[in-house]
This record gives sequence, structure tokens and C-alpha cells, in this order.
Amino acid sequence: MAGVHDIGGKPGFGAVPVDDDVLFHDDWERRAFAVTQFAQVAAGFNTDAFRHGIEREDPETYRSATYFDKWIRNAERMLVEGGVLAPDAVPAALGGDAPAETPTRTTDARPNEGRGTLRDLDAVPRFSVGDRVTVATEAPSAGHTRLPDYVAGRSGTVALVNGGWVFPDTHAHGQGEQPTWVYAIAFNASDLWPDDGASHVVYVDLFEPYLDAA
Amino acid sequence: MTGDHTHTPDPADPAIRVEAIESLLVEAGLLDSARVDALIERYEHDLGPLNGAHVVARAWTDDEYRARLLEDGTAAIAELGYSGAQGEHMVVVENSSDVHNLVVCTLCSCYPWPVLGLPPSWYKSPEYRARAVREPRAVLQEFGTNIGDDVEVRVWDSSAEIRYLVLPERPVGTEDLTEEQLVPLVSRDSMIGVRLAGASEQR
Repeated sequence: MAGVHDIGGKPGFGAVPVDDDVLFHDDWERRAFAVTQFAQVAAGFNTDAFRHGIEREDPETYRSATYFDKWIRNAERMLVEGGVLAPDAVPAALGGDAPAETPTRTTDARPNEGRGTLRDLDAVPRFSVGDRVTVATEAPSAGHTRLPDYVAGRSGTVALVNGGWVFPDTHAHGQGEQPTWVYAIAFNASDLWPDDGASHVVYVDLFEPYLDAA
Repeated sequence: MTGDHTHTPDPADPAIRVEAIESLLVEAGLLDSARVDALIERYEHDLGPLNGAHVVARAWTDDEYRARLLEDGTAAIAELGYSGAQGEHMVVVENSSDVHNLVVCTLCSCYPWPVLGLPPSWYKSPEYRARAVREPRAVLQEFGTNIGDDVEVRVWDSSAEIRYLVLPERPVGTEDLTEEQLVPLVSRDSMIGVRLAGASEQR
């Protein structure tokens, strides 16, 4: 079941808002951008846990809220789950009150270790450029994943071996780095959407646990 | 507004919530507002597509640099002083008369910050994220960019931590220009792949 954020190739979207070309629409968006990053650090969330926070937004809100509204909602979520703020801290502050609840850390998320997420791996890559591979029909576990639904169960060709990386599916949930190889897999659009009659190629970066030999 | 102490701020207003969260973090001693200002300044003004334009203009005028850039994008971009968050591992994909590349992030809004700065709003829009992988030619047309049927369109969905930069084609008629003169022709959009370098509409 694809998450609300997993919209690649999904039908029903209109014209790209080409003229909406700003980085920030308003000053609060600037502050949301920066405050949310500091909130992530204060809450001890790594980038994968940060993304998973956004993905856990109420689906209705995810669809209707603006981009930086989703960020600041995530800031509050991370600070509460990270035990920095009480669950009622923000509503209480808006009412001019002190929170009645106590901050409690309820997440297994861990901070980034300050060295990015690229790793040297002892294991050799399972696949080589030119190999045919098939993507799993669903992510290894419920929760955060970087396996887009539109390539689930589809076959493609390894185009690039793109280094060893921390595995988002475990890292987002405090289950360790479990670093693994990432490959750029080339998919023919005609294999992804056979009825479209399109001839382009889509390259998707996929982690080795998502892949099997075709 | 003065004296209206019974007025409760609208909790649905994100601007109000940003302010409240910033204040709570400052009160807790976890944040200094000057650091917020500095982070905004860095990402809004210090980083930007001019960095990427320098990379492209160098590649257009220096064949050895171009070869290094396509072989190891991260190292070649770092030669010009650009590196950091969201640019840890860069792959540069080259446009030609046969191939046109386009970059998207369908799952969120991944973008190569060190060379392009922060993404414009449309790049983060659900419309771009959903449609770029499925109907790239139609999306390109919305930017006024028509790619011939004989050109292979390659769409790069940055679904992991690798960040992609398009090396656009050098515009015809610019053979006599220097690297410095070429920089203004390299638009941000040409490095995402939604427009051609030197296109009449530059962004």
C-alpha cells in the first residue's frame, strides 16, 4: 500500500505550477525551513526519520497543507516524539498557558552521526551494470521506505552502481544503519505503464534489499 | 489588537505555529534566533544555481574537466569548491543531440543544494513529482521545452541520497564565448532539465 507521499506516476494531477517559482512565499516559510532543521537536531532525528515524520502526516492534511506547513507540523511532531516538548506544549503556548503534560521521548529514532550516510562496504555489490533485476512487490517492512510504488514488482536494468549507503528502511526506525549498495535502475516507461505508449527511460535509485535477479 | 488578551491565535495558521515553536526552543535554551537567521541567509543567498552554472561553463570550455565531471561528479564539483549537505554524492548526466535528461524527486523534494541552492516551489509540487516520471514530454512542454521525438528522454528519480545535475548542451553560436561569458547562459532550469541552456526564458 503506497503512502500518501508516494505519488510518482499516479494519475489525476494537473498542470505543473511553472510560475510558482520562489524558494519561499513568505517570511514564516523561511523560518519554518530553518527552525525545522534545528528541531530535527534537538529531537535527535536522522534524515530518514525526518522524512518518515512528514510521511506520517494525516493524509488529508498531507494533500491540502502547503510544503512548509508540512515541515513545521513535522517539527512539532519530532520535538514531541523526541521528548523535547510536551505533547500539549504548542497548543498551550498559543493559548498563553504552560503545558499540563510532561515531555517524554517515545521514538526509537537516532540522530545522524555527523558523517553523512555514505559508507564503505566490505560486501561486494550483488549486481553489476547491465544486470536485469526485478523490484520487490512491496517494501521489506511497513514504515519508511525509498521504494517508490510505481516500480514495485517491475523489472529494469542496472545502469549505475551508486555506492554504499545507510538503509533508510531500518535507519528511520532506530534499527541501525545496515548499510547496503544502491543502484540506479533503468526502467523502460513501456514496462512501467504499458498502455501509455511512451518511450522514455526512468532511472530510480534503489537499495539492494529491494532487488532480486530477474 | 492591543489589549485583546482574550484573542487566541489560530492554531491552524502555520506562521503562528512557527513562531510558537521557535519561541519554545529559544526559551528552552536549545536555539538562538541568530542561528535561524544565519541558516536562512546561507540557503537563500550563499548557495544557488550560480554554483552549478560555474560547473557547467567550466565543462563546456575544458574537455578534461568535462571528462572528470562525468566520471566522478562529486570530486569534479568539489574542485570548484562546492560540496556539503545534499551534495555528498553527485552524478552528472549529459544532454546531447540524442539524449535529454530531467531530474525529479517523486517521494519528497530531494535536490542538489550545494550546486543549485534550494528548490523552487514548482519542483516540490505534487504535479511535478507525480507527472515527471510518467509523461516527461508533456511536463517539458509546460515549460515551453519541446524535445524531438528522435531524442531519448531520461528521467532521474532521486529516490536515495545520490543527487543528479544535468549538464545541458552548450547553445549553438557560443563557440567564441569565454567560460565567464557562458555562465549567465546556464539557467537553473537547464540544470534540472526542464529548459535548455540559453533558452529565451531564463530561470
